[in-house]
Amino acid sequence: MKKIWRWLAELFSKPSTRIGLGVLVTVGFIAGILAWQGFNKAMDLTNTTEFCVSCHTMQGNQTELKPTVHGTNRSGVTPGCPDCHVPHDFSDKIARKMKASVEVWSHLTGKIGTADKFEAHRLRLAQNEWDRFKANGSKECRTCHDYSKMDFDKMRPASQEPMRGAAERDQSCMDCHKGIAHHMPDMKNSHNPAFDSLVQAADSTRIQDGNSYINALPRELYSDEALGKAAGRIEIATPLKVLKQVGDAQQIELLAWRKSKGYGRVWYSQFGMNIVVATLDKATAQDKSLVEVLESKEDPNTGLIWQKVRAVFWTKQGGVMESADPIWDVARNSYQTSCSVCHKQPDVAHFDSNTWPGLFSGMVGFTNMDKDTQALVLKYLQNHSSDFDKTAH
Amino acid sequence: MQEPTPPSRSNSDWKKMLLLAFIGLPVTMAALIALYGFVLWGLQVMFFGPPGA
Repeated sequence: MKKIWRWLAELFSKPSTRIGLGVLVTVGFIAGILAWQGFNKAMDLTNTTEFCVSCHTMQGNQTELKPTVHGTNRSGVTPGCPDCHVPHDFSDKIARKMKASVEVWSHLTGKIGTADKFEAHRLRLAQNEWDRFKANGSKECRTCHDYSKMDFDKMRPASQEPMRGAAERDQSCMDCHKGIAHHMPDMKNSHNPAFDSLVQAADSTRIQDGNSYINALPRELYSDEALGKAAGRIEIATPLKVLKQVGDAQQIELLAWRKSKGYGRVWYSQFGMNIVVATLDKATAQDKSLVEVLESKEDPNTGLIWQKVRAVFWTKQGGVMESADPIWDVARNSYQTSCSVCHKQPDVAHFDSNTWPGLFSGMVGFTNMDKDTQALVLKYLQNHSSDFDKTAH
Repeated sequence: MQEPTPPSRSNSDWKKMLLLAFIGLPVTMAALIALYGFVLWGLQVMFFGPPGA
């Protein structure tokens, strides 16, 4: 080691005796030009679509881009991978390129080597890019799509208002346009961490036999105490009465409404309102010894007969809360953050509980809510709709 | 006139210069840039978060 240092020190401090100063500087100058040129060339080469897809992991991503407007369009102007995915500024670009060592590693170890494996990681990978676009306001998109050069009048009428609003707020493109170039990840099975707070709240509930509670999370219903015979599923925020508790099981009573048409599998919380509280298995729903019909009434709006029903089921011990407020807090939060991203979210009490499901299912595809959160938010909207909040409209 | 230095010395000067100019320094430059990138990435992961606008 010491030898190398001495050799280096000598190399830099001892003047050359035979080579002219001009020659030294000239050769150094030329070497400098070549080195810088080579460096830039290497940077450019590693910044081409061809380079990206030379690793087979990325070929699927290119295939799914092709039919989108960023893959083929009437003018033939399309971005390559790095135009969107590599920062354009020098420092951020270098950092991103070094970060790509993870990608090289994943490629070598085959972590995302097949389409299936890629699908399994798609949500996480997409989230990385969404976080990046969120932090820089979708800077790479806006290299081409510049708010200040948009002619809003030329947009489709439906696009004009949201785009004007977005420009005013200088909003990040990716807030609304997720999944525009690559397939949207399957969000349905992701986990909303906000639900963990509900589990905690449920754990600290002191349950007394004969009292009424609110179901904290969607879960299985059983028809026997041993929790062996599945009977259906009870939804979040469903009111129930705990009859008794035996070991790991608790017996609950459900009071709800169903339509007499069909098998009557879906139970609703109120007469004439499509607010789902439980979904039963076919056999269970038809079992007269289990389901007791208390009352029948015709809904004048639809002409359907609704029945008030009562049944006793078993569930796992716990999982209930005294008040639905913590549930609505989680729901309100999701509603506000997910929906206000693209538009001003409507007043919940602006629609009634049978209008919300249609509206909601038309919009929810634009959000990244998982399945349970979707069900929860819809339930929140229905339970706070104009049917319940009489102060509005 | 001065006694010329032995040709071996002159040869080794050329060798050293070319080695330094075309290999040693370019490699050092690439290594330093890579290091800069890694440090920046590390800082982003730990402190800065993803780069802003």
